[in-house]
Amino acid sequence: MPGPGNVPGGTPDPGLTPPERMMSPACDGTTRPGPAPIRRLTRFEYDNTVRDLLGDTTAPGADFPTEERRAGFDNNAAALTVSPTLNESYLMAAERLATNAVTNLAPLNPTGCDLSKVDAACMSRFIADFGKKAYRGKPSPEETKLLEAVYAAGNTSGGPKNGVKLVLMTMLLSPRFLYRVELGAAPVKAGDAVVKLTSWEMASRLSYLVWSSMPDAELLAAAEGDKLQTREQIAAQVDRMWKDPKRPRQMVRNLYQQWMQLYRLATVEKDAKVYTTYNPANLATMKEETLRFVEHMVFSDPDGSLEALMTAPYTFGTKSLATLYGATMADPMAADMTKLSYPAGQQRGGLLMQGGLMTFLANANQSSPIHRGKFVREQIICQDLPSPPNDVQIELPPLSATLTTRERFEKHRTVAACAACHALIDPIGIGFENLDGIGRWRTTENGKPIDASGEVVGMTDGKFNGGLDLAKKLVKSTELQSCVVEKSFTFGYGREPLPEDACSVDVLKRRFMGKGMKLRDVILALAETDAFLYRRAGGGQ
Amino acid sequence: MSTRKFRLSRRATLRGAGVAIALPWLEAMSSTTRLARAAAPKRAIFFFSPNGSIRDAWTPTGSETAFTLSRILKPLEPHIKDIVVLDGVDNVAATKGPGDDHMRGMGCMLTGTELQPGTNKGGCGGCTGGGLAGGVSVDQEMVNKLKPPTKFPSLELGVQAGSQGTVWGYSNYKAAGQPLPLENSAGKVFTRVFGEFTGNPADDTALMRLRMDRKSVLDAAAKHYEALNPKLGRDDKAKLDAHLAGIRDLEKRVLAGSTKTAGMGCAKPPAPTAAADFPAIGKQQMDLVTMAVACDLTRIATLQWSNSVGGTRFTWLGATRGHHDMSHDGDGVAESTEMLTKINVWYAEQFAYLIGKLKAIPEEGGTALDNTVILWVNELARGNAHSHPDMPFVLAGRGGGKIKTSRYLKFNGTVSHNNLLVSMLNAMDIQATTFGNPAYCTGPLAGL
Repeated sequence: MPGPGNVPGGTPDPGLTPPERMMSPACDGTTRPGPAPIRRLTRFEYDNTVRDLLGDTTAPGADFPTEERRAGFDNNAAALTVSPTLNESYLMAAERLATNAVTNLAPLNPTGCDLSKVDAACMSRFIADFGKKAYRGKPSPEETKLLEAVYAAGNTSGGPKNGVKLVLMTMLLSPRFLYRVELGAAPVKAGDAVVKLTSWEMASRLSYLVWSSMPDAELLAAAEGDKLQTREQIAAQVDRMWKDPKRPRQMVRNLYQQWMQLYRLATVEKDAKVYTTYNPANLATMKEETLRFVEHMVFSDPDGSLEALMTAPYTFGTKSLATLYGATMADPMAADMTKLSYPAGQQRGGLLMQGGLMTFLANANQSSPIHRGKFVREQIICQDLPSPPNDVQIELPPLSATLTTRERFEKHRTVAACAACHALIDPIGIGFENLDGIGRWRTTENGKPIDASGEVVGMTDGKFNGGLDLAKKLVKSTELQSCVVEKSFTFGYGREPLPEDACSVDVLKRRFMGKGMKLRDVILALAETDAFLYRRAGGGQ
Repeated sequence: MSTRKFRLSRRATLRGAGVAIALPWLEAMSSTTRLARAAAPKRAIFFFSPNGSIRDAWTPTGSETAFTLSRILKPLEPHIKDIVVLDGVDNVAATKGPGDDHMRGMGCMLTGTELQPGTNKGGCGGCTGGGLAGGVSVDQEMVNKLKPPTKFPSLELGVQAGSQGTVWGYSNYKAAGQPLPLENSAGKVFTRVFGEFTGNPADDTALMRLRMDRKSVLDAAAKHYEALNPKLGRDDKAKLDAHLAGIRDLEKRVLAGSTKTAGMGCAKPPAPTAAADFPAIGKQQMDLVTMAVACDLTRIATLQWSNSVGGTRFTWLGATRGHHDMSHDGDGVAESTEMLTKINVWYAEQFAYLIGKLKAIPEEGGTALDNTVILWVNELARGNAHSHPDMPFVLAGRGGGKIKTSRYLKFNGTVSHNNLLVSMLNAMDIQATTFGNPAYCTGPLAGL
């Protein structure tokens, strides 16, 4: 990655500096956090936030317009603009949420005063207390006045509860709720172009990073006490937050769901004439299979490493998947999902060879070395590929009763115009030929044995034999390891890494690659970089 | 479900409302009165179908005023007096800038300007990656210029419109890089557009209170942004200023349309039943668009069937492959050409249906179609060539007398569709002389 260039920086706070930063040649005595564009809650974050704020599990975000997926993720700050429809959706959602909330205000109002009566003092307390949660910081005097005024208007039009409803609606529409507003704290050294975050801002950075949701009571208390200013304070919160039984998992599932493009399973169609036993109900199960497997690797597996994720000889599934894979169920009586072990004869394991990916990375009536190879290049080793020229008819080689897929795709390698790109794609995808278009293991095709040997052209030690061997080679490659860091960065910070992020990226790499490539570490290390611990002064972008 | 027809005199409306609500009601009422006196409003509707057409089966024969529709446009025969077939207009902007042919075709379709740079290379060999569209779309230009006093500044409806989040998925842009999402669910469109529409303002006492409350809330929320935005950095401020403008706009529209009295062709439509198949959803969306226009809840609408590169399987026409897949086949693949022709005939039937619906809405001095201009657009001319010259554009409706229909216009040489977009603006009484990238625009479309 090129150097940071002439970007205005700041002075590192020794109390915030991780050892990796001190060891990294990519870091120097200047902090460069990169841009930190204001981040609007995604639908996923909105739903999580109203659940944690109001106890409301109706997930109103389902009705909001879809986010643009930029750089692979739906939380890219630059892409989160606001359409008239979204504004309207926010209004209607706020109205429904507030209407539900005022039917039982007690849980939202621990002060215990009676909001169903007109009581100005009680209202002010409510605005201050509840506002702190909704705004993830104290409402300003100006905001407090606006909320009091809207209460008065609501009270006039429909009584005190209606007043509270309007206060809640206003909060849910305010930038303090819909956005993660950061104005920054003081610089470490006067005059620096980089500042630290206030403890309130840090609380939200942490909660949305680790939980994809708002800060809980402890984080808010730490923020109020200004206790999110040192490395130890932040690390203690991250440790505690990671132990939450649900919220880190929802974040990790969201990350991998997008990274592995599992949403593509929703639109899969298969040709029933070719796949006579095809069961569309497996699609949802396969999506859950991969997410369950990832959750296991990140949270439960004693190793929890990239290697385990890519090569473990087991997966999770239902009886229906066990039958499809020929796998053994750990609990044969399981009504839901259970651990599935692939049979000894199958060279199968890890994330890439799971049924879901193999199914959507295939055509309706056959496997697809192209889709599979392209996916590995783009999603697994983060490389851009040129795409086919316009005038090429993307008609696949016709199905054959005698040839193997490998033979049918030979043209891609013999016609020069195709070979330039397909030499990068097909020899990877062909490695998965032991898996058909619906995720079943096979050793022959049209009576001929399958040859799944291939190569990741351009990668050191790129020759492999079969998908599992490919995965093992990838785990050892800097291509995959760096890609894990890049994807984590992009998802965690809502933007792609820039040259000036060289230090932040290197800290991530050191924490991840230097310590056994634990999947957990690359996520948690996101809380230890310049990009996370600082921001540019004056909101400057 | 029966459709209730409302016929309420203005006096009855006043009688019903006068007691219950004082000032805000009167404010709202006065705007209704103003509207009632004005001539029927003008409307523009954009109708999109993807993946190009089959030129030989599309092109009419004959002269400007005496022409015969070919196979694809034959379903428009009953409305031949209401249409203009535009032959030879090119999407010039789509031949420039980054992105693949589908991306450029789609992003330039209603904007007439190149895509933003981006990382999406789609299916282009060695081209620079593209982003979303690089400018405002013509429908939103209409919104910006006309500031229609309707409940919805515009409506964007989809029929299984996919690829949301990419340039392939959107027709409409508020500004460069700011696409407008499409609503694919007719049920949700109904709730949004007609959920609180009674057609009888006298019934609306409780609703009016709710709306006034919403106004208070939106105002208080907007003031939050007004207090915060000046403290933000430049880019963040621009983003939140846009959000603020949206809230203020919504606030203005809270009462708009709420006093509309059903009558003439306007009646609250029945709630659509849940439908999963493409043709049924399309019909529901067309019915809703028609009624939204008839009730003056919006004046500008888009109906987007599928999306650029859409893979709709036209099983009801006997297709076994997806639309986009097939559209790549060479002209020599007779089976595919035949199916693609059938698909475009089917879209023409849908276009004819929409024309028919608007024609069935009586309005002072004629029908809603007389006051509407509908433009049928596509992101490509020919699917297999991914070409942008000779786009298969068809216009319908008279735009309040601005469009002389019953014509077949043939253009030779390079005629940029930016000019057509200027004509669309002119048809809506917007005095524009250029639209999109001015390099591709010489004024309104000559002869239209």
